[in-house]
Amino acid sequence: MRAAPLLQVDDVVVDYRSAHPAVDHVSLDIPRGRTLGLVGQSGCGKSSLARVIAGLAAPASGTVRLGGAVLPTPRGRADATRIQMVFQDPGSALNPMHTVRRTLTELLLVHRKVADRRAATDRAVELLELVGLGAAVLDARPRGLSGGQRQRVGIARALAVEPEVLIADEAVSALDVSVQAAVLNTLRDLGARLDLTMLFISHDLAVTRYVADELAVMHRGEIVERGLPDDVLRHPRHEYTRSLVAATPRMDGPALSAAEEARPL
Amino acid sequence: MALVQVLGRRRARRGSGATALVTGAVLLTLLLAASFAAGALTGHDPALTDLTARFRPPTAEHWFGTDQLGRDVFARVLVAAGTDLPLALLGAAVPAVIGIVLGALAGYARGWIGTAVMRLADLIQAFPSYILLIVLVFLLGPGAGSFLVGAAVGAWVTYARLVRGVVLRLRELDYVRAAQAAGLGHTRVLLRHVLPNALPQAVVYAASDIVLALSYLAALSYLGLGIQAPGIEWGQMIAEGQPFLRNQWWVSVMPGLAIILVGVAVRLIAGGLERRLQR
Amino acid sequence: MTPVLRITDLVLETGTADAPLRPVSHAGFEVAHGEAFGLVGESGSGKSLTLRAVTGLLPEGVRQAGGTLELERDGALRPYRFAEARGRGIGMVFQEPMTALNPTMRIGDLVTAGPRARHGWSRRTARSRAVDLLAEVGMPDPAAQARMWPHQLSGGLRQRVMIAMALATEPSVLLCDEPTTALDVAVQDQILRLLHRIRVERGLSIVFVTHDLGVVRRLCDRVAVMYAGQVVETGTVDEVFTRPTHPYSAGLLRSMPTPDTPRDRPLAAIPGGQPGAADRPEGCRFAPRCAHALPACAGLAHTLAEVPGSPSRSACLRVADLGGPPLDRKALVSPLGGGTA
Repeated sequence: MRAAPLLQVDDVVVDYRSAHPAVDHVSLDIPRGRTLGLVGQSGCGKSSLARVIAGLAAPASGTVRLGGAVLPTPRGRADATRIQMVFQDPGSALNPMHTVRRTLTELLLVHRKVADRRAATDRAVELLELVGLGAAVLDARPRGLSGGQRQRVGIARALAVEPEVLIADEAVSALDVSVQAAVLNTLRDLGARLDLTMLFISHDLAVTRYVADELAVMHRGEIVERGLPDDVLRHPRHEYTRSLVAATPRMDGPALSAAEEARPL
Repeated sequence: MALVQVLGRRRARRGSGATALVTGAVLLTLLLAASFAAGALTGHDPALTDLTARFRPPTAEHWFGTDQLGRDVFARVLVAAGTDLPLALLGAAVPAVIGIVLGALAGYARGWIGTAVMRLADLIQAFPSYILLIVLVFLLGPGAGSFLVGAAVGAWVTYARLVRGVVLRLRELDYVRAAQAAGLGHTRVLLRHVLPNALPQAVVYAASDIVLALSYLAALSYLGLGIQAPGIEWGQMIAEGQPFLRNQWWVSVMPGLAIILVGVAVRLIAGGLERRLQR
Repeated sequence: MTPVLRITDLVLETGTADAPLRPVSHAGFEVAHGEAFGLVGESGSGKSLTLRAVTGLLPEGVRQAGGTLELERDGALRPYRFAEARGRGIGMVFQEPMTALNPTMRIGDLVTAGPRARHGWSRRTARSRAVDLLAEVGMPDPAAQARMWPHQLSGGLRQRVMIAMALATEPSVLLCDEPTTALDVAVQDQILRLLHRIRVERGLSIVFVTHDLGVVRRLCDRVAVMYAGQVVETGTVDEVFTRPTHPYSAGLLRSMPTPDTPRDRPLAAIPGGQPGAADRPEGCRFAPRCAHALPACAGLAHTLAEVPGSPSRSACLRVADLGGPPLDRKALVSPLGGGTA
């Protein structure tokens, strides 16, 4: 049994005027409070799709609907905050000149989420605590933060405007393994606590399986397979998914053997 | 003003940049202050002619000597600073502001605005800058206002290209996308998120452009197209002293040294700014 | 048997002489003939710098301030001159093949430029050697690709060209710095299998620097784990991956989700982050993040010691009392567990 989808993407095409559209008639939906994992290699179109859903790029055709109503692109002021994004590169995701305080309070004040500057700071501290940071980083600039801390500020910024859908586009890929685990925990924890609907995009099968309620595999602009995470990983049906699973090195997997050396390259 | 904010918000942590910046700024400020008190400081009226005291070489009485009309060169060099420095600063600042605004628009909006700005830039760059300046001032008539217009028309192009290039790169960065995705208006994104990060390079460039503006002004005056008497200006002084350069060198050389001093001060400021604004 | 490469007490410094920073301090390991050796660590651990020190290609401002680097020659380890070693003893493969390949040279000329100059090969000899090498690294059409330019090739093929260039000098050790990080997993898999085959066929040794534990598992026989500029554990991949003897290795292995990680529990993250070269603590550098740290850890001098009951060597003070049952990733509870921060 599934709940009515909150986010519905219908037949979206992103065309770079080539024979292979970057996004080729993609439809997907995410029920409220659930996380859809979107897995694909670089260039498969997953980031183009994310930008369309976030309203940062207009599709050539197709629609993005939230709660049943079509969201126009560019988004109107009222719709702009309903879908937010966490970006990949902790190095460029935050304005290098703005303190964490300014990054968060600007959004809170512009969107009138709070009454005044004091309330904005209080709310900023709450947001920072929500993502596992605290008031200590309020006056830091990105340069003074670690990669993991920046990514957490990025999550706090996305949450500041109280979105209904959060898109995480390779949000942990640039992080070191031990830090990545902590940020993944935070994302999952937030999803549950705030009843967030999430689109988690990554090239990493194991990472995506861990956070997602459902998994979609994207290849050359199309969704080639979709299912429960463990089903997709253990019994991939599409040929591309099978090759992806087979090619992903696992730290608990087999070493290369003499037999594999004979396999054609 | 955004520019002041940018400079104010970054406190110098490395001494070398700050030292150069302060030294340069103090030099210019002293020169400017001295220009207002030239008479009192030198004990001579810069405009007073005394034909009995023509071409006195530098002495304790006349530090920089006197000119062909017996006027005190030191007093005149100081007074001229009050003309040259503000005009040089404006001559650098006006095109910088115009170029930054147009370049930021061209980079952020792209589309027809961007194309129009860049075509105009191509057109202007087709003319050598000195020729453009001289022709414009010739058409508008000599004077400070013409100089500023002439300087602005030729020099904004460099800033526009510089800032457009940086803005084109910045607008693809995730934090700018994030600001857009969070529903911030274009004006706000451009002014708060894009422009401040594009400014430092333009500011450094503008600082070093002050010398260029000064040399333009001096060259115009030297050609008789700049500041007209009774206004006093270094290029004009150099031109007046030129016939006597062989025997009464100080009449031309002293204002020339003043230009060099300003050049050094500006270089210090630009270098200091560059080190401070560097990531 | 004599190892083919030995690094002892390597110290790398940056900054001024009176206030130097040491991105790498007392790193050491040895690589046996024909073995694939993994050097793993997170960014900033000093793994890439260590590799570059072996080649003498340190970045501007970084200098070797101590330690010895030795290559095997005629059955004995000897210090070597970098220029000489780069020409024959060691080959290098970098992460970013586009910037590592001269864009103004054809593939065939690139591959044999080094040895051609050294051996005075004729153009024809060089060409045919180049085609042989390109075939060895699995280029689909070596004769045609020898005449192409670097920008005409995909990332995976460019990486093969890099490997062919390295092989052209007949090295005994191939040094690889994250050569597959920028590639898709399918292409990465091909490159890993290629390296494996070359190693077996040529009997050469590979040093593979990476942050990816899965890649190490797949390719390498032995591994050294680096943290904050030091090697904290070294041993066979089988041992280290199943019975880590340092809490950092254990934490690293446990924090990475696998397809079998239980989804109803938080991942075992290591609290905090790796300290930079400027703010490393005294004693054991991992101690502030370690759930097992004792007061004595803050005074611990770094050495890699034998571990009772394990073939690995570890820098942990508590190896004797923490050595326990094999790491059970599913249970997330092990004597070396790092908690679930």
